[in-house]
Amino acid sequence: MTSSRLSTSLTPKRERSPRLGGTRRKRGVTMWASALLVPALAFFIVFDYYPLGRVIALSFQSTDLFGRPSGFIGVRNYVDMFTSPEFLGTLGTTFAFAAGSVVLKLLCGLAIALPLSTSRRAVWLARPVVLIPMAVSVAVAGLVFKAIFQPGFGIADQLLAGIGLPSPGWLTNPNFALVSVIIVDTWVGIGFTVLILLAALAGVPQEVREAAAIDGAGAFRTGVSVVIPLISTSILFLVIYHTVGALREFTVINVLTQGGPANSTRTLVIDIWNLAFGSSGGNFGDASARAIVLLVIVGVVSFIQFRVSNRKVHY
Amino acid sequence: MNRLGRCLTPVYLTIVVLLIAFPILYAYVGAFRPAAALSGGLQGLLPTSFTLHNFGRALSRAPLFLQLGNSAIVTVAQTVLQLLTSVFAAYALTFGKLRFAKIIFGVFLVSMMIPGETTIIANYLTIRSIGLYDTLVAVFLPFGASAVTIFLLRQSFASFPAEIHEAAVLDGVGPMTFLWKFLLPLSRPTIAAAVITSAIAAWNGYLWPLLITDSPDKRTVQAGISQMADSVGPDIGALLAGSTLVSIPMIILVIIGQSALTRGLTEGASK
Repeated sequence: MTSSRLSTSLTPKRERSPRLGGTRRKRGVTMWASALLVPALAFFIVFDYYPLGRVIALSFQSTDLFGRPSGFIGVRNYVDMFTSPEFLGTLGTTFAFAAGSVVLKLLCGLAIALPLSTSRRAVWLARPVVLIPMAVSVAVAGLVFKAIFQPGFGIADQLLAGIGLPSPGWLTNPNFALVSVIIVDTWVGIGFTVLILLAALAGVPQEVREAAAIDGAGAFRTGVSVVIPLISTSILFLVIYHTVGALREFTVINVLTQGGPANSTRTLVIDIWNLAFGSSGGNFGDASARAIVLLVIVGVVSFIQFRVSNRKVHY
Repeated sequence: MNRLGRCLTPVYLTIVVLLIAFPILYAYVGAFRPAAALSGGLQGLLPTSFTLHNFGRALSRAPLFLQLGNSAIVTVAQTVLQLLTSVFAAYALTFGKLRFAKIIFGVFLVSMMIPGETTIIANYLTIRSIGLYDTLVAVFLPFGASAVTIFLLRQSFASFPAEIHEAAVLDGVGPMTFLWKFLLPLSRPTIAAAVITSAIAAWNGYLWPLLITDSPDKRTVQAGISQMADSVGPDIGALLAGSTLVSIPMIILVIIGQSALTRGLTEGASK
């Protein structure tokens, strides 16, 4: 509503211009266009900008036992948060999860996409690699892996026992659970990673590979020193995309470990969820302060993306 | 060496495909195997006998068919709503000759920087205060507009030839007629891509539906199945049967959508 009134009131000069037929049409253009913007704007204001303001306000308030804000307390939630060893551990877990998941996704993605793009006989194998992880919802993928990782009689432990290896305690060992969660998150994201890498590799001229081969470079050497630099733009996109995704990941961890065992997989988002909505939840003040930390971290990563993508990345 | 590499690459890639497909193959075979066989290692997966008991136990814990229906309703409603608001907004931004087009587009784009996980607390309070808690409407309403879709559509609309638009306007074609009769039919590949990505995101939604619904008959299937998993505990057979049941509609959709998607992509490439 506001935008339509604003834009029509700001075009009086055009209305008085001598070409009458044109001006009527122009005024009409602004009217309907403003009206068409209203629905989208309304959704963004009600469900993005207003809640952002409300979370910022909540982060400076304490919360009573019933989950109601009970007065402004300045930055105390933030001071409490940054002086709490548990929270610093949560931050560390968040970054470890993000780093592990991004690195593993890219390494596996390249190890699959590079040979796929060179082998003409194997190219049909790209379809199942890309489509299977994309077709399965994250919650279902998490559940299937939960069954696979069942301690003792799950198939993962049985296979290890078959070759005489002990179980690492996939989801029960506090020193290994984060690795298991990263493995599952990599499976979930591998389809998209390979899809983007294959699209980028299709743009690498065949002559470049042939020239490298003539100069005596093997397939591995050609991939690492010639092809990867040529697709660095796509690799950078994937790094940023997966970093933001991992910082915000909830489903995989919630389904598999819910932050346990011994808080070893408790990331920022899991922490927000537990504080606000967990069994002892209703602590909206502390949860909001963490939500703002998440906003800042994601904002910094997005800003880096903006700065870097404005620069020429390769050659 | 080179010939060896050429022979080994397909072998290596086949192993990779099998590794990636393994969890899903395991789920689909295991769902039909007797519970006792599932704790017997790989040989327990040999299809010697089949049973539907796992499905019975899974369905006794959660109304999965009803929840699949809920997910379908939410997915369709969210996709249609997002597409409508996005088409309108992108159209107004590209053809509306608005003075504030850049600022408003900026408002849309900046919203992408606000993580949904940051705003859930406030959105939860909003939904509770307007009495929509534990309803299907609450599941899709906050996702009524999508900045990514607006961005994609705006790019596609901006490449529409300006002469055709001017000619249509001079012939007296109204703005809505131009949108439905000229612009949308010519933007089909982009619309198809937007529909598929919106629908997949809506179908996969987990955190928000888990938070904003409570009774089993209002849950979407993603939230419902994870609750089922909590209540069956270490019953692998029921876990796999539930996962199989829930994953089938999406697998079918992706197989159908895949040909539509590749057609859209090749159409776009040949232009």
